[in-house]
Amino acid sequence: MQDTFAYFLDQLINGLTLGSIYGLIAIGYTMVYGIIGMINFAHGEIFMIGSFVAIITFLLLGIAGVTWIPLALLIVLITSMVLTSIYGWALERVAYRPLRGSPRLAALITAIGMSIFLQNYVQLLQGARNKPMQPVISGGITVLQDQDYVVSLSYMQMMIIVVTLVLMTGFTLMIARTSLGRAQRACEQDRNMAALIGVNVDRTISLTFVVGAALASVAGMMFLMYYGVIDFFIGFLAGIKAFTAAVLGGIGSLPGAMLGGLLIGLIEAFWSGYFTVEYKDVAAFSILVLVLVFRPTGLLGKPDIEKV
Amino acid sequence: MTATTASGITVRPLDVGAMVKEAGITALVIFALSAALVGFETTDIPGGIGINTRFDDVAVVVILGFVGRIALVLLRQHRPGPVLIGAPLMAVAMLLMLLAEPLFGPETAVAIAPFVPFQDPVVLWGLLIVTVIILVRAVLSRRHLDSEETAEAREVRMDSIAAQVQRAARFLGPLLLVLAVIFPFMPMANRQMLDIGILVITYIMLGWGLNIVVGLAGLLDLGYVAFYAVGAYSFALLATYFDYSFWICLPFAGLMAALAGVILGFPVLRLRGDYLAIVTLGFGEMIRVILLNWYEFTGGPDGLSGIPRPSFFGIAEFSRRSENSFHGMFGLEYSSLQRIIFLYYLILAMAMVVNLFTMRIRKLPISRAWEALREDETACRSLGINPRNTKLTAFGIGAMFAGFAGSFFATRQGFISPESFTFIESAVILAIVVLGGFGSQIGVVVAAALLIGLPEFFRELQQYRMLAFGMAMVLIMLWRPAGLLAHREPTIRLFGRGGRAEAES
Amino acid sequence: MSAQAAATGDMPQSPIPGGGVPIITVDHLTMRFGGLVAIDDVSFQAATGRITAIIGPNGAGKTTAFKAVTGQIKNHAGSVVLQGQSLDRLSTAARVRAGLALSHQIVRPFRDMTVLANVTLAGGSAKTAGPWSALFHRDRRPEEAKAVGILARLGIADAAQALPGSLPLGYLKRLEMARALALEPTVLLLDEPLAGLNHLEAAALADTIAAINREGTAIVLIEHNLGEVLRVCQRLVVLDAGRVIAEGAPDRVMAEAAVQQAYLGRREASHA
Ligand SMILES: Nc1ncnc2c1ncn2[C@@H]1O[C@H](COP(=O)(O)OP(=O)(O)OP(=O)(O)O)[C@@H](O)[C@H]1O
Ligand SMILES: [Mg+2]
Repeated sequence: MQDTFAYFLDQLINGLTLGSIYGLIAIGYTMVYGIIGMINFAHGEIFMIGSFVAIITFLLLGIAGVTWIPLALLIVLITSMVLTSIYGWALERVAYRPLRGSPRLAALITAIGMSIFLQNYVQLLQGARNKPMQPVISGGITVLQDQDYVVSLSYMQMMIIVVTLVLMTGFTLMIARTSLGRAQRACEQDRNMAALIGVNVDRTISLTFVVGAALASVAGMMFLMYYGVIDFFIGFLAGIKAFTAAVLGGIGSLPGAMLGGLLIGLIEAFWSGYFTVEYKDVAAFSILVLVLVFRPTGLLGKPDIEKV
Repeated sequence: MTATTASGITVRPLDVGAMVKEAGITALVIFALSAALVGFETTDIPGGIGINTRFDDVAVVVILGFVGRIALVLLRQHRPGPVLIGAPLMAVAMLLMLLAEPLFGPETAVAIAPFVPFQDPVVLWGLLIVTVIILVRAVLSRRHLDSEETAEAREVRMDSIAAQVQRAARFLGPLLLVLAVIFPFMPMANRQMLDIGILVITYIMLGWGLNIVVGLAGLLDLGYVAFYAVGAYSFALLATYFDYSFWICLPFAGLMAALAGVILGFPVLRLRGDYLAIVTLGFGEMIRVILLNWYEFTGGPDGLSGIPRPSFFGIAEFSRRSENSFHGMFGLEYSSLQRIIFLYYLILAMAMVVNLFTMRIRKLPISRAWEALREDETACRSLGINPRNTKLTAFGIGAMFAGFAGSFFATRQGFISPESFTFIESAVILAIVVLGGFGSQIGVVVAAALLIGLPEFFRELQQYRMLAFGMAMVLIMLWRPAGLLAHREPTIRLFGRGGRAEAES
Repeated sequence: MSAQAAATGDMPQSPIPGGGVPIITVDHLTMRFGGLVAIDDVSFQAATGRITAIIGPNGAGKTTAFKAVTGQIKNHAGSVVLQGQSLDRLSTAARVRAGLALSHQIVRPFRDMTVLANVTLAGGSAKTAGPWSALFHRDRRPEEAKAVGILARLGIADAAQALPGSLPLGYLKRLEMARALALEPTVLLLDEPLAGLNHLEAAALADTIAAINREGTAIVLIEHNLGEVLRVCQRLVVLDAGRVIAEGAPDRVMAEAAVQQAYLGRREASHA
């Protein structure tokens, strides 16, 4: 069965779906790394918080009797994006801003501390158990039928891929066309100089965290709807994989993050499909190690100019 | 209309509008942060999840945020007056709520319960501590209005405190050691206390081991637990399959861990600091996943059990019925405590070996090389230092000590499974090193006692343990990125901290 | 009006002799790097329609003074007042928005952007102040037109689409200055703008600087090229070892013995 095209196609669809989610998270890592040169280890937790805000909003909408699904999705999306971006903003403001200009490792330890803190904060407030949710969108279309093996593309998967495409396009335009994008590029290259030509560096960095968190919250919401279950710990693995994606694509590079996300999703899906499901995380970690050792600039990254 | 105090500080007229606006924004942000996650609680109900509300808690945190911010603004503007009145009132109110039962009896406690915020008194205790800290700051700012400390001055002061602690450590260390040695014979040393003692010393040993890697060599290792696991599993496998005794398995396990450290470290140690950290994290998780899934060898999630307990140096056993039992040999009553006490001394001795080793190695050239590498790798190359081998040494030594500690863990528990070797464990050990002040031996002891011992005593704190770890790591980095007790022997200092940061840019 | 005043030297009620009405006042500035006192109790003023030049030997602390004025480094004592507004508590970006602009001695272009993009960015940087305008400001034609004009004025319009990495120092120095001009400052701080230019280019740029100055921008100029300095400036401040050793009208200052010795003497020696 494994050698049929249908099986391959199935894995491809799974991989693209998963990769979309990783890609959305990876953008947050890559943007923050680009602009302040730190690994925002707590970004996975932001993703997790996004999924929790989403599940709570879904439940409330259920109680309120909002049954028209597109409206419910829109409300959840906006709530989750807004509340989660405030977490992203607060994270930078409280924990990272005072440490600008400190050694990288100090910033990384702070980020790890924030990650542990946020994980346990959610665990204390919402409990350690799994949070299951009924599927919101069900059904799908049959893409291919090979004897009795049916390859289908669910509406959920379609939505994930489409939303990711739309967000990434919008996001790319934003970086290319808006003042924020230009200010970000200036800050990435030379923060002091950017300040000297009147760019509000603090606000640019804050907005970077806000945008990254908003994208991660969308990923969190889609993760919740796709898998139907979340817990306070999902941010750890998803975060590491998304970070791997960012590194694979070339950390600091936005197209790289998207590409890396897709590749990690595909690798994970094919590895699970053709080798062993158990070791799929080992696959992701091995890629992380291999890329960092042999090509630290990743696929699309620029050679690293050491900057302060 | 600005008044100038005698000490030369200008006290600007208070801009109430700006202050309220600032506090209002804080309250708004706190509201947004807490609205979903605090305001609603997802609960398990049959067939799915339900939802509870906690709006009162949201209201309380928002108000506290508002009041707290106003207090901070007032302190910043050198107007501690209102804080000096308000903070004690709040503290007393909180204390009364917390101690209602012992003070006024259960009826009162039940009567006021609806007005007491938060389900768990621990939160209120935490807030009480914050209130007291603000109060102390208010009192201090009253005392020396004149000395608004610059970052530079604070750094100098903290450094001298750290230096004093290090000097004190010279006699504090031996004193603590003596206390540790006589501890099992003190009246309060029951089974539970000894178990806590063993646990704390295990973490002290791990902290000291990691300290060599992080504190001395400056390599952030987020996967330290991997070597702990390698040690524990090597020990368990050797001891159960080949029936070797503890004293043969122990060095082997250490060696295996060191080997793992060298093999893993070799390809990655040339990476830059933060990448290296992430890679070690990856290794830690990889080893855990392998342990979890290599069923034939490691027992998978079930782990390995029936790991033999250590004997009394191979000459006597700690068991009730045995040919050569420990109690028989020394003519004592049998007591299960004997083995515990033996384990206690065993880990104490192992930890002391690590300590002595570290003290010794600090004086060796390799330690200078580590220090130099921390500062400037390129310069080191031109001095003929081989960065990779130098780092590898630290990595290997650290791993070996983790392996020893892992062996001890295995033999003490008699059972190991991958669950004991998660990233959280690495984070805990790292937190101990960070809190202890990178490279300070006595700091690790204090930190381990605080982070491991305290929550063991106060079980109610257990839940909040990791939360506090995370917060502590952040606060310490914000307060003093070099580490709480970090103190450099005065090598030459050309620039102050500010100056150096500028020179780098 | 100020242009006329400059040309005639006719100064009604000027607080600074020969210096015009002060627009920026730097008072008792002190900056230490560890034990080294890089600038020590330095005060000076600059006026609209005037070029104030700061000269002094290498390491005198001139660049450090500029960095402290723009807030890139935190001074240990002293204050800066621009148009009656104290800048001391403001961030660098806020000082720039208040009307300061600095052109660095050591060029620092954004190397991934074209020359034109560099200047346009500066022209539109005010739009990054608020989150809303940062996200939704898209039309940058006005800024671009302005940037093209500035490049032409400084004589580097031909390099508009080039990346800074490929350009000679003379261009980069002028790019530095173009970026500062795009901010439309009330006070322009120029740190050795003529360095790296040949003498024809230097003379042309000095003329441009004088012209910009006549249009109403106060200019503080650090420059080692004494010939050009004396040709365009109206007021001279001499720094040595972090202290102001002389200030006033250029010819008078240059005649002072201390200046001759501290500045020229050592300069000659180092060239020998
Ligand atoms: N970031 C820094 N850290 C330590 N010392 C510094 C720093 N910046 C400047 N200095 C020192 O301060 C002094 C003044 O330097 P500054 O750059 O201001 O001189 P300058 O007058 O601009 O000289 P030049 O004519 O060479 O440009 C010098 O001795 C310099 O070494
Ligand atoms: Mg200079």
